[in-house]
Amino acid sequence: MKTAEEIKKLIALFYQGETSAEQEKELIEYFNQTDISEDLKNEQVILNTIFKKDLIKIPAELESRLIARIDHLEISSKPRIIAFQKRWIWTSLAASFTLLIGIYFLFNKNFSDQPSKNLSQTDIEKIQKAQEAIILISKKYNKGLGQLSHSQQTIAYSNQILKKSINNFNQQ
Amino acid sequence: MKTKITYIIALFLVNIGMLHAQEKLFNKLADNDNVSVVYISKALLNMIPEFESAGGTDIGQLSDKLEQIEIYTCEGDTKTINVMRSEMESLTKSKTYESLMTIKEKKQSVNFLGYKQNDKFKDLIMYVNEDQSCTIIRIKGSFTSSDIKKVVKPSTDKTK
Repeated sequence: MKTAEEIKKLIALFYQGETSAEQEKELIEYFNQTDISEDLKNEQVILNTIFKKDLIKIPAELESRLIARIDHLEISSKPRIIAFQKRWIWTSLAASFTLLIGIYFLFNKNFSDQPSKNLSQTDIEKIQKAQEAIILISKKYNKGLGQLSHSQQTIAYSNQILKKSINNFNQQ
Repeated sequence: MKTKITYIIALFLVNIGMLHAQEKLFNKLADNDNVSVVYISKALLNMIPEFESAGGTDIGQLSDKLEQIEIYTCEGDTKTINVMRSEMESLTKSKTYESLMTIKEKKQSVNFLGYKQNDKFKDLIMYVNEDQSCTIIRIKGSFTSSDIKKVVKPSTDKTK
């Protein structure tokens, strides 16, 4: 049985990758026992894990499956990037369009809110003249119609009186 | 049938000729230096509702139906005033325009002349004749008698 000092030397060689298969077998045997030096307990956990891992059987087709999976990832990653870029372009376009429409309506609202800002003083005066002209026409037109209505009433009243007079005359 | 068609065409041509004559009359007034003329286009008329603020009036409903307003004014120049009067008298005698009414108040007389198509006014002329001034207001478009009446509501109509 190897001493603790010898095992330490073997461990150092193992970590350097310079141990032979026989030396590694010695290390396995040493760490499989329970009665080992206290300062090698930590090394026991590490090396037992390493040695047990070597015992795990890897399926023969695992490598080919992994390679196939990696190839598939390489192929599908490109369209994903393009799809993402396309989506980004469309989002930017939609945002720009919305912004332009917003600006248009904002300015349009401002123009309609303040029509006088876009007109010259002459145009404003012309509009005022047009307003005055329309009001004057309407007033005079209504007045004329009022007088016409009054005249019609007067005529109707006169006709009534005339009819009465004729009736009275006929009765006599 | 042929006679009817000829009659319709002749009537149409006479009508066009008369309208052309009326336009010449207004152009003549516009060319007169003593007559001040204001033309208000459809574009400006469309802006009237935005400016409208006076209570009791509804100018917008009529201004929307107008194509143009022409205002001819002459003050103080008796010779020009007489020219305007005689031109309006000749227009009254024409068959194109129908004399609608005359309102006389003190020294002022107001005449309305209208050109109608299918019960709608296409051209309405208000001619205000005073001692030392003469004003002609011409509104063109497509509107009814009711549209003119509705501008000034009866409750607010405080005519001089």
